[in-house]
Amino acid sequence: MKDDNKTDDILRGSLEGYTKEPSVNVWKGIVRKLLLYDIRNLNFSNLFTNITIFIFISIIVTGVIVYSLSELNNPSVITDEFLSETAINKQIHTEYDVASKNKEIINSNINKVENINTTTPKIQAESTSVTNNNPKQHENKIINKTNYIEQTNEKTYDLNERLFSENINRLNPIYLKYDFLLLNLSSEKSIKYNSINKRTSQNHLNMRLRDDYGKKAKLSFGIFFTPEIINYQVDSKPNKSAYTFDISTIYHYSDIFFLQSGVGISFSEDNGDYTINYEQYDSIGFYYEVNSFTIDPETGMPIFNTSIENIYDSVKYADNSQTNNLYTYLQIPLNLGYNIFDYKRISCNVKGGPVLSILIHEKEPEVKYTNKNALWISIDNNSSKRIKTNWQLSASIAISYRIGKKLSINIEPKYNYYIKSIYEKSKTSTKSPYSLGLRTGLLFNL
Amino acid sequence: MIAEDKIIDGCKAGKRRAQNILYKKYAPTMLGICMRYTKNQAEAEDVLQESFIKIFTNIKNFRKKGSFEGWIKKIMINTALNNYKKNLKHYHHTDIEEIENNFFIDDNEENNINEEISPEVLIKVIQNLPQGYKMILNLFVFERHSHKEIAQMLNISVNTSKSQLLKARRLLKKKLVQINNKSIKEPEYQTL
Repeated sequence: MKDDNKTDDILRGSLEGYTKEPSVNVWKGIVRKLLLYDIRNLNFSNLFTNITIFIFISIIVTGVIVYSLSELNNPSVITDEFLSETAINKQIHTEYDVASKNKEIINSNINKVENINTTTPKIQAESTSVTNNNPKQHENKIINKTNYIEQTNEKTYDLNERLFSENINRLNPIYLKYDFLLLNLSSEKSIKYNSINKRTSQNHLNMRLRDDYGKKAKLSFGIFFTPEIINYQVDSKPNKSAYTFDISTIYHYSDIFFLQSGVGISFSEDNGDYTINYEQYDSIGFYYEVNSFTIDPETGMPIFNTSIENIYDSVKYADNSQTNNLYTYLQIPLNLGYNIFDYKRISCNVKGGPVLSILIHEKEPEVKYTNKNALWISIDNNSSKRIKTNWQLSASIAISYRIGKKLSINIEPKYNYYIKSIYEKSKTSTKSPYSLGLRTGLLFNL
Repeated sequence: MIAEDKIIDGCKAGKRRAQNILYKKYAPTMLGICMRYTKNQAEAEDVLQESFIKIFTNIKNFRKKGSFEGWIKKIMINTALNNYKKNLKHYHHTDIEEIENNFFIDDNEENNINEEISPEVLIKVIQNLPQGYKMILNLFVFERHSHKEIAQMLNISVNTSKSQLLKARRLLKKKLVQINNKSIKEPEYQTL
């Protein structure tokens, strides 16, 4: 026995304070597993707040970035810094050179026309004098010269028109900066020239408007976040919140009609109702306990000395308790939409259609009730189970603001009506709930 | 130096930095404990990792009434025991071989244990003990549990616990003596 104790002491002494450094991978493994644990045990109430903040920040940041990027490609807002800094500057110089050359050609043509115009009175005077001398011969000369003048004029006008068209096509990408060039050109004397200039300027303006705000893309893709308030149509329940994240595809099959579908995850809150029954010893009344008595010498009646004693018994109680439940739905909407207007950067549409909602996860925490004095406790669940699949009708009006050539911000007040009650064999309510929400997100035109 | 209470509060709040500080503080000591319960360092590190995950996920339940190190140590030992129970099937084959090779002990050699055994050597010897012996030896000698407690913890009878401890001690002594003798003889070989 002593030997054993001695051996044990030796062993303990040898390993007292024994340490060993673990390898680096141990901590990495712990962090990895803790992350998985955190994901599995996410607190949804905090998560919603965080995700809401994150989404709004993301939308703003993405909007700013995309807007800044779109500025670089947007002809209507080319800045001097941009022109002086970027490679497009080189292109502009080239275009400018071409335009200048064309302008020189046009000027020379105009001069030709002017020369011809100035020579015309001379020819006419000459022809008048000559007509008197040799009417037939000079008549032919005059006719030939007049034809020549007319032909030359026509050729010049044609050339002018062609050159202007070329100029305008070339200058399309650099409208504003070189508007002065067009104005400069349009100040030329030729009336024909001015009319061409006006026409091409108008084309130019049309092109610019179309390029700025763009035509509607056939296909769009969007990511959205919708905070909602649900009224379960149950008197005892206050309005509850729900949050939906969805991705949508929009197909414009005509200028005014479109189809929208996609998939979303919706988290909706609800209360679980429970009745907690318990028994507890409690006072149910009292009585007077006679401790002693004396006889009144005068009256001969007994006088009792008493004390109040409570009477206890097990008493049944019932308390109501509520839990915060969370339900996750997979949502598949199909909407038919109508474009109300599309003005510059802003467009507005209405849409509506059915939404299929499939219950994919339920988080119903248990009621916790502790009462040290309770003799017996039972808990009745008064909440109705939710049906696995439900249909909703959704209607919304959406306003989009184009922040870039391919990107819009979308704000969409939305109304959802549940076709049937969401509860199974409803103890809770047979009425159809409804919800109001604000769908916000980004829409990418493909 | 951050106070332990602050580190614990940080861990309760799920702060990774606090968790890292706590890990760095206790991991070497706890790995030392885990080494005694397992066959090698890799297995010990697995137990350590699992234990720290339990610590971090259950630290909210620690009420600061007792020693925090004691609480951590208890989790380590429980995890090691669970690991042993989980791998019981795999251990049996090796245990039988070990016992067959080491069962007979020369009693004359028992008293020759060197009192200054290096921890590394002792750990190696303990690690090489059959798993069942190792558990009982650890719980009795190092954790100072009674045979009754050990019986409850390992789901065995008190007598099994006693007999296994006896055998564990004898086997351990034999191995230590062998090592001791070898280390004494080695210098002679070198001079030859």
